[in-house]
Amino acid sequence: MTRKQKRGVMIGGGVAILGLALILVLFALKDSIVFFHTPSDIVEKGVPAGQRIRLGGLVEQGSVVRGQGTTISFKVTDTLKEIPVSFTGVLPDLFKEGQGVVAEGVLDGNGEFKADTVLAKHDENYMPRDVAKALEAKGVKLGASAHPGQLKAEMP
Amino acid sequence: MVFWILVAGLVAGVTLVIMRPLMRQPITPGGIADADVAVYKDQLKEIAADEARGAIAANEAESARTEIARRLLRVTQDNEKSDSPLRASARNRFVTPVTIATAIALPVVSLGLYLAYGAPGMPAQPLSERIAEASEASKPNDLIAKVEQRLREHPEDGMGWDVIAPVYSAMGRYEDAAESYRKAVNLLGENPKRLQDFANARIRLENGIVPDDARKALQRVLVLEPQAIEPRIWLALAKEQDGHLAEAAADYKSLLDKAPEDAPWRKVLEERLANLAPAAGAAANNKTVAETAPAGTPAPAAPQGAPGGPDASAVMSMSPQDRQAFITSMVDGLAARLKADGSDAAGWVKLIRAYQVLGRHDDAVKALNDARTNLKGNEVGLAQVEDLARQLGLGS
Amino acid sequence: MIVELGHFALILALLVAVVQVVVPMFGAAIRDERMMRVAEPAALSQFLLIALAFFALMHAYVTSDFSVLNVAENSHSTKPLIYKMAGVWGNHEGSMLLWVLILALFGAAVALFGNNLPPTLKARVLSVQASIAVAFLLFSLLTSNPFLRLDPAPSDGRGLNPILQDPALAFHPPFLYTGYVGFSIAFSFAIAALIEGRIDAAWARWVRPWTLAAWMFLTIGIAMGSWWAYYELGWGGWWFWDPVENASFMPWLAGTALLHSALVMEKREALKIWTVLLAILTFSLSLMGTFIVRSGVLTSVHSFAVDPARGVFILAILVLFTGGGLALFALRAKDMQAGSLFQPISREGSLVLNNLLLVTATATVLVGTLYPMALEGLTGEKISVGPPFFNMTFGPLMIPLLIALPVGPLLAWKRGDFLGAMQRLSLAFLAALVAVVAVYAVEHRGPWLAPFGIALGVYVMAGAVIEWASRVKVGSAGLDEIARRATNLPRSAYGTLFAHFGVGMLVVGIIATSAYREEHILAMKPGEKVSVDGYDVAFTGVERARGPNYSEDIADFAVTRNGAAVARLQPSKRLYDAPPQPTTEAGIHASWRGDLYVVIGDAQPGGGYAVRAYFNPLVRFIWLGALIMFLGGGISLSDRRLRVGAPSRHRLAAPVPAE
Repeated sequence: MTRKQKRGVMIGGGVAILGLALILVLFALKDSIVFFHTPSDIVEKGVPAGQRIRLGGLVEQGSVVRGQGTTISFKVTDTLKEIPVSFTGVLPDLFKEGQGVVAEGVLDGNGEFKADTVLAKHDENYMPRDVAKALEAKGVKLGASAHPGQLKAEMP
Repeated sequence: MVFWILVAGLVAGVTLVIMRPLMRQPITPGGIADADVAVYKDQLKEIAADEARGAIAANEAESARTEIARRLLRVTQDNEKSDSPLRASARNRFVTPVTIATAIALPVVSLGLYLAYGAPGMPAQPLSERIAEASEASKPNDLIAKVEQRLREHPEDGMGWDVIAPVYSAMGRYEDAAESYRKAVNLLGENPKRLQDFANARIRLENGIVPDDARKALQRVLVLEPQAIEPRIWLALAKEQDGHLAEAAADYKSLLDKAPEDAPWRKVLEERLANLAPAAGAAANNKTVAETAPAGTPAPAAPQGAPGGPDASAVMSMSPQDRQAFITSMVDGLAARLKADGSDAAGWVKLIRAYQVLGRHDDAVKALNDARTNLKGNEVGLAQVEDLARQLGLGS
Repeated sequence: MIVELGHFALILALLVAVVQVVVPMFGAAIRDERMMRVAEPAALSQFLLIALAFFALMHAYVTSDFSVLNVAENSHSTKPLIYKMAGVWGNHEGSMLLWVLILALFGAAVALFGNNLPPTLKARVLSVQASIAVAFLLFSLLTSNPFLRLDPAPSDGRGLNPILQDPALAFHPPFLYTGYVGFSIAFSFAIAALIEGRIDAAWARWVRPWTLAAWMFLTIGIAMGSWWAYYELGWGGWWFWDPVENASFMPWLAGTALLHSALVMEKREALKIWTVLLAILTFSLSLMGTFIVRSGVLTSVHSFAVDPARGVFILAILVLFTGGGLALFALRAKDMQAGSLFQPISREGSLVLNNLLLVTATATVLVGTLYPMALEGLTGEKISVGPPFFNMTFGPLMIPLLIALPVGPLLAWKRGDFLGAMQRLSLAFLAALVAVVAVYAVEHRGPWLAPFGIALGVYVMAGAVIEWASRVKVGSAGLDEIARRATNLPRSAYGTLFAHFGVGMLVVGIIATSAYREEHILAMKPGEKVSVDGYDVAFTGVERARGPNYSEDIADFAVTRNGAAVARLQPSKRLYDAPPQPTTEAGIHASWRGDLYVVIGDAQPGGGYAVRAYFNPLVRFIWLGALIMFLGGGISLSDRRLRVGAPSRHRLAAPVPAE
């Protein structure tokens, strides 16, 4: 092979790999990303049932009900609207009424949110940034302790 | 000061170390490509080693050698062409200004920045030291001094007196405590607790003898709070101390009759009563108790009459042994003080009375005699002691 | 006083770094030996000063000096000593101090051990390294000063986040930082060489040991972080594709590529431009990782305090160094001579493939990490990109990489014998085939691809051994000869063996755990049992206990297998005193087959507890593989060939020590 041909092989290989990666990335972005919504978003915009989303807000005071086995139901609120959530599993350490929470899952036909993952952040002062921002955008005043400015150090 | 010495040392040391190369005579280093040459020579050796090991074929080794030789040649040419040995720069006109600039900038700028951002002179405050300091600083004395200062300026501050009185009491400064309670009562008005606390302070000041002002206060408590038990106990005790033993015994009995089965003071009253039995005669109706406490010997479960420590109820809640030890230590303390300085007539009065109350009749007589010896020439004092002797029926 | 001395030392270090940037660079430009020499004492004293500052801060932590704001905010008097010390880097300011300390450490190491470098190159490397230090010291002093004082001091500190109070995490940041800050040296070498205008095979040899050291520590640092997440977060997961994990993983991928391309450059003087570019990109990714983690742009369990000033400052540093580096590269790259020739099927060819795949994989991780931020910034739409994205993009790229991995080392330089290599790998293919069958025989569950994934790992492991065996002529030489060859083999060959074998183990562990994990989530009352992968796990009860700075509910599980007692697991839920925060401690029974992993959740009405029990098959292979890779790096680093170069300047004519 001549020098040019060799270079051609190299460049061809590189372009092929990059192209493959690009296709993978585009497909993955189409299929596997999850949108974040607040309860008001869901009520106002209407999120189709069955679409995988993240729901963020505060756990409504007094709404946590521990049912049979490990199924737990509670309501996520942004103080304007609330969405009932059911979850089977073990809640994270910092799951508490009145605290910020992010649940991932799908809405069923009746407006209930079936979560398969519940995230509560690892600090009592901490409200997930998305939640804090979304709530502020809705005009909900947060106490100083709920501001991300209060975040504590985590793993570097 | 030490800090600034260390800072100065640090700056000077670092500046000198950094400037050292600038102040030396320059050495003439080798050509710039010598390092490359060393690497390539080493690579040639590796190829020889690999070939010897059979890791690469002879023809591969040969072509690799050619390649490296070409690199070697190139760097050697470069070396000769452009990189004549580095300039022996003794006369380099930049070195001196750079040296001076460094020597000035390092200390000046670093100190300047530090003064702007740092907190020089602010001591470290490790927790261990702060704990030591804190316990030093929060010593009651200092706090008291502050409150006292305020009360000197604002003696009309009743709350202040009310606050400081129990502190005095806890510290054993009963005189000040009593005075503070008195002022608090005057300024804020009477209430049962304040009066009771005042009485308690007075009683402790008198080593368990219930003085007149305490009695008045206790009576006021009873007026305000007729069901109160504590003033009654003290008042009964006062009667006993006055020598009205039969009345005292009657009061104890009536208190006992009214006391609930589980009342903590019940036991104390029983003991008091038992103690009184031989002296009061008529009042004694409990044989077994009477036997355990013959007159003149200290009862194992000591009488309650002479507390001088914390709170009556606190003393009451002590175990009998503790109570005994506590009272004995109070009385012995007073005796020791009078032995050292026998001129205090009031002290002798207290001591004699305390011995008598404790049932230590012999000690009371001895103390009376000691008082007479010590108070010779003090007509007033002697008169008080003789009065008491008559009152208690201690013969001469 | 010690605290203030530390503060002053940090400021002085900044000044020293400024001198170290200016004087040697100028000296190298005008070829003044004395000015170039300033770099060495400057690098050493810069390191010592930062170390002084660092230990002053640590002293403040150990003595609980709450007059230091940073200590008051992040420590607590009741914390155990080790976490008081580790608390130094458990927060933004302190970890930036650790960052510059390690940066200065690498500079000092080059000053001390870089005697084989040409004087101008060394001066310039140290100068560039110091310029990074200046940027980060300024950042530290201006926006994240750990020495700010509080007067009066509060009576006690706010405490360290309890989930960080863990031995693995206490030592994870220093390793991780040694890794990704270590790539600064490769960057400095690249910039210095671009300024110098001379990049050749020798340059690659000088860069390699530093890159290797950084890579080693990054490997073990990431592994420790993953190990910590596995047993402390209580989810039984070991990798979350969290942006902060990605922040350290991207430099690792690029660094791995750099390590391999520098090899080609050293041996064949090919891929010069590419290698220099990779050196710049690798450290840029480290800087970007620092930006992502430190600026608080993320929603992540790892986020630090959000402070826009900090974010903008680090972004400026990132732009300056990456942009500056790439601009310089663009200016100089065209002047570089083309490298040597090679056929696509050759050692070089395989390493090029390795580089292409690794860099592309880095790019996919980069997209997955930055896309949510970019989208939110542009449209306000909030999304999360989770494991499915990375499994779909990163995973497929790793398959050809792993298939090619054992082949490359068996190919000769310049022109390889592909069929010969395949022949030599026949045993590895056989091993892989056996693995597929064996896995199917044991496990019928799981995705159908999983046995092939495990087989791929086995194939990589076997391939690493075969490469070594063929080097020492196993099968064609006598035992004595094999032993002789095995001892004579350069250490770097053993490094390759270990590192590649470790990769194989890692793959086996990852696939086995992901595909065959058994998970039970249930409510249990004392006396109840659950069966997990053949283990009978009986819940015997919960007891309350008190630790040094927390109270905990310890659950007790008796584990039996076929009636024989195996272990007692005692997972617990802790409530720390300061800050009052709960954590979950997992109970883990480890064996070669895998980990039995039990955590308890909330108490339920009626005396039960939510319990999660997992069996994670072969999960330890993941960290064991990483540890073996780390050891491989260490063995390779100890190879004297990496240290060879010019003798020290005073013995110019001395010959290179004979072998």
